[in-house]
Amino acid sequence: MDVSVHSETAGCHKRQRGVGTTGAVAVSDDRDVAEVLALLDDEYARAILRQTSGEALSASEISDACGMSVSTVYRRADRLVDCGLLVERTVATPDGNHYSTYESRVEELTVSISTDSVDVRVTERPVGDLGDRFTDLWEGL
Amino acid sequence: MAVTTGELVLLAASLVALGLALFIVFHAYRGARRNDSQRMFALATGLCLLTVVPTALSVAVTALGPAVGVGSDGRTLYLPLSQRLFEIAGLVTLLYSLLLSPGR
Repeated sequence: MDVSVHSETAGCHKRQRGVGTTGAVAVSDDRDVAEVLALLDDEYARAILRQTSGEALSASEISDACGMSVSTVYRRADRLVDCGLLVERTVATPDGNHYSTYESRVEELTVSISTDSVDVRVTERPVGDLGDRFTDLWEGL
Repeated sequence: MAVTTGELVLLAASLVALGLALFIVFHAYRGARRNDSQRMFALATGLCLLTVVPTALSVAVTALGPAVGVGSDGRTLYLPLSQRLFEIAGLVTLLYSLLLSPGR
């Protein structure tokens, strides 16, 4: 089975490092903070994050496990991927088709409020294939 | 030939080292394949020459040496010499991997 990693994040913020690395990512742009908080307020988005913590699942598996339609999964997952809270990977099947799997990146999420700003800080969990993380590490030297 | 406890411990430790080395080399190789990275391929090769080959040689000579008639010269000179040569080859490969431009 061949797995390739999608480049993530189009919308929310720019990640500087590879897919496999871990660490904390700060979300400081107001619009992005609002989007992250809106997603946390959404019960479907929360269910997807919970279900994919520690396990990469396809949209139909998430749909079965959480009792929501596949199109709801895709809509929420796209937004979560844009914010960097979810990692999407494309899995090729032997018959030439492919499908996506999703895995939560969120270990912990901190909201800090001061008179200047509301900041969200996401502590990321290590996700993805050990070989990919190894590659990121070595190529990052 | 009587096998001492010390030799058994040495063999066990070598096998553990061999297993760990194979695990790491395997994942480096998988990473190279999945990301189509020459640098990772060189890293996997270098780690293999540096860790897997010398350990495997020493296990092979310890376990099979007496049966195939490896003399004391073989154990005290040729075995360490070949191990060093493989290690040098591995280190050169690692250096090559570091000097390759990123993303290749």
